[in-house]
This record gives sequence, structure tokens and C-alpha cells, in this order.
Amino acid sequence: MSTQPITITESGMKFGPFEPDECFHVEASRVYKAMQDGVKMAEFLWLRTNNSISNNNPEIWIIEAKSSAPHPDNSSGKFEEFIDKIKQKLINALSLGLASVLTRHPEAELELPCAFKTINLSRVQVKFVVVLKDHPDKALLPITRRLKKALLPTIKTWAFDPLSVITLNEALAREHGLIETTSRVNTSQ
Amino acid sequence: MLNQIELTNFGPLAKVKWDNLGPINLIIGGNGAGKTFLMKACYCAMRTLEAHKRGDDKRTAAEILAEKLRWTFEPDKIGDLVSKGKDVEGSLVSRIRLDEKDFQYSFGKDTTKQIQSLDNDVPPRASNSIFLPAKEVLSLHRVILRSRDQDQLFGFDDTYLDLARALGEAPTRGRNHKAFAIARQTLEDMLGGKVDQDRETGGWHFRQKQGNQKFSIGVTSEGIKKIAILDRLLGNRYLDQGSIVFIDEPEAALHPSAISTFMDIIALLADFGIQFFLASYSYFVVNKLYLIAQKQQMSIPVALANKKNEWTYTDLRQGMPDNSIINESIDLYKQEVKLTLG
Repeated sequence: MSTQPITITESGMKFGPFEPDECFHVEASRVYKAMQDGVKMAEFLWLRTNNSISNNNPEIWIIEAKSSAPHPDNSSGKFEEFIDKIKQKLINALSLGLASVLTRHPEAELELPCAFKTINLSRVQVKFVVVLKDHPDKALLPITRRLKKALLPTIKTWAFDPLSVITLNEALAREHGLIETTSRVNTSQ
Repeated sequence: MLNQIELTNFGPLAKVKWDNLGPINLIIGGNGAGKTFLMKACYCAMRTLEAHKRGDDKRTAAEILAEKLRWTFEPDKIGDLVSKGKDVEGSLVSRIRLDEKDFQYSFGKDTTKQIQSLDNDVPPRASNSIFLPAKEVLSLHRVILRSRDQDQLFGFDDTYLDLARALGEAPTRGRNHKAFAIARQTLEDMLGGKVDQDRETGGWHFRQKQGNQKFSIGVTSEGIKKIAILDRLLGNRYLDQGSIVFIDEPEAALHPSAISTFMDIIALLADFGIQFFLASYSYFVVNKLYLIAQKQQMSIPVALANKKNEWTYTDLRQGMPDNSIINESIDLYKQEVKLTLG
């Protein structure tokens, strides 16, 4: 496995750099590629092992990136479709990540970063993080509220922290270390 | 319909010039910005125009106005309403434009009760305007009337007294305007019953539709009392198509879903011709009115006071303005992000 820091470019944003031990680019993984038909997937999993918010328990941030989102008052049902699709991707990423930790997929063993292999599954917390590139701050709240509702059964059944779902824009993602402060995606590429 | 409001040196309002008013108008500002003051100033002007030459009232507009200002703002002398401070120069000036006709007056800080300068081009009006204060009045109804009609005491200002009197009028039977009937039905559905006054005792009670149970007003929720007031004023025909309704903190004591329905009712009545002025702190009120403006392509003018009490003007149809309520919700959201992600 490479020791080079990992960067992931999605939806016009450049995420990272992350320590290769702590970032599982699940959407690009061979284990996902082998099963992807009918299985929607979030972008990547980032393991945080030094986070005081979760009482020093490890946290897996499951990241989904989008360039935009429909307006919550869209009457054509596009917003509900959007929420449902994001929910599926996040839950599938959670399932595949934890299934890989449990070595249920032999082919994942080689590509699952080392730090994930020693996670205490009974203590780990999960944060579902959606990054919407150019969304204004004031438009993030209604999306978070709706996503929280959609993911509530998952949060309850896994006994995750109630504060486990959040929507960010690029600026907030940068503030919280998901995107390097100086990074910019070259849109002419 | 009020088309324009211009106030200078009116209490905390150094300068307000609000043009192009719409069927629903929203006032946003922090504590002490003068939101209620602005609405009361307009209310005094409207009630003066509505009392002037009505029935056998022989008082001049200046006499009615001076009395209205005194009993609405309750100053020792009306000159106390003129803005104070070393930078303040000149008199209090108020000009409103109603149905494209002007009503203007001014007075200085030494004025006790006689307004010398008043120009009125507005013809006599048959409609009634009303001010709905943030506090509910049904449970205080008799106290307000006694305190003012009998004891002539300051305390409950004229917005309370006028409302208490308006509520005392019994509902009128017969066909109501269609929009009013729809609005009343929606209000009744929202309340799950009706509020009525006992003709003998003058006391109020709430009759719940389900089970036909009757509760005294003292044990009825604040939200129900608030909504019931509007229902009563529609039912007794105090309000008509030419009325202007000023609502201070429409969100007070209402659940967000009730706020949303309440705003829908206001939009329905505004469509029928009643003009509304709302002073609010509520994210739900602002957001709901923004959605109404977008959905119905309705002009909803907004007056916003900043921290220096300077006023700016915009329209919700053009988008959500940068304002303290939304900004606070963004700040709270950022706190949530920080709490979630560390």
C-alpha cells in the first residue's frame, strides 16, 4: 500500500491530503467495483482517532460530495429523490466499510487502510458528512434537518451520537480539515 | 392601502422612509430598534383617519391624533415622542400615503397636546384598522376595559383598548365574504374549536369541536387565544377589505406549524384586500413569508433595522435579505457543525 498522502477530487473539490492509513477511498475500491451494480456508494471514509468530541473514541467520517442540491421546496419531488439517494450512498458506505473491517470481503483486506483494521467496533462513532460545493451557509440547515430524519433509524439502531449528520459547503469543509486550505481544483482540466 | 411611510425623529426612529408598500409588509430588527414604535406610529395615523368625521364625531383630525398618540404611547406630553439626543435637530414629522393621498403632521418637543401642523388629503374612511399586540388580550378583556373606560389609567395603551372594544362586538350572522369564510374555517380547523363570549357574564370560553367541551379562557393556551382573536374580528365584521392589521410578534405563543398556517391565512386575507404589517423576530415567520413571496410571486416589502438603528428596505420576492434572524440561524448552524465535527 502506498505511503503517499491521498487526495480525492470529487464534484469540483479536492479533498485531502489524508494519511493513507486513515482514508478508505471506498468508491474507487476494487471491492466496491466488483459489486457496484445496484449499489450506490459515497466517496470515501476518513478515520479520525483523536477527536475530543466523541470522548476520544475513534470516528469514521463518511463523506459524500455533490456540486449542488435541489431546493428543499422543489415540488417535483427532486429534493426527496436527492435525499433518498444520499441516504443510500451513506448507509451503503457504512455497511461496506464495517463489513470490510469484519473481513467479510477477503478482497478488501489488501486495500483497507491499516488503521481501520484495529477499530474497536463497539466504541466507534460515525459522522455522515455531505459536502455541497457552492451551497450558501443559510441553505445547509434544511438539508441537514431532512438528512437527519432520513438517517435517524440508522443512527438509532447503531447507537451513534445524535449529532452524526451534517452538511457542509466547500468553505466549511475546508474549516474542518476535509480540504486543504490552499487547495483549488483546476477546472480547466 | 398604505403606499408609503415616512417618519423623522419619531422616538427611536431617526429616519424611516419606506416606499412601495405591499399587501403584507415585514419589519425586522433587534430589541430596541423601534419595530413596535413604527407600527404604533402608523396605527395612530390610521385610527385618526378612521375616526375623523365618523358619525357624530366633531373633533378635528389634530385633536383625535393628539389623543391617540397620548393613549397609544403614553408619554407625559406628546412632545416627549420627539427623538432625544444631542444630534437630533428639528421636529417629529410623520407622513403616510394612503390610497395615493397624503396625511402629514409634525410637532416639536415642547408640544403638550395640541398639534399645530397637520395636512390631510385622505377622505373619511369606513374601514377599521387594528393592532394585535404580542400579549394576548382575551383573558384580560374586562380588566382592560375597566382600567381604561372607568379608571382612565395608563397601562393598557390604546392598542389594547381598541382591540378589547373590537372583540366585544358580537359576531354577525349571514354570509361572510368568501375569503373570510375560508379563513375562518382554516382558523377553526387550526384551533380545533371556537372562542366565544358569554353574553351574560362577558367572560370568554373555548369550545372544543371534538366532544363539544367548554373550557374557560384562563385554561386555554396562549396560541389558541391569539388565533381566536383574528377569527372573532373576521366573524363580527370589524375587519373588511380596507382594513389594515398590525401584528406585533405574530410568532408569540405559536408552534412553528401554527405559525406557518397563520401566515397562510394572512396571505389569503391579504389577497382579499386586507393589508398587514408584521413585526417579527422569528426565523419561521421570515422563512414562511419568503416562501409565500416566491410561490405566489407576491411582493412582501421588508424594512430591516441594523444594530445602529439604520433602516434599509427590500422585498422578499427578490430573495431572502441579509438579516439578523437568518444570520443568527447560520451562527447556530455553525455551532452545530462544530459540535458535530469538533
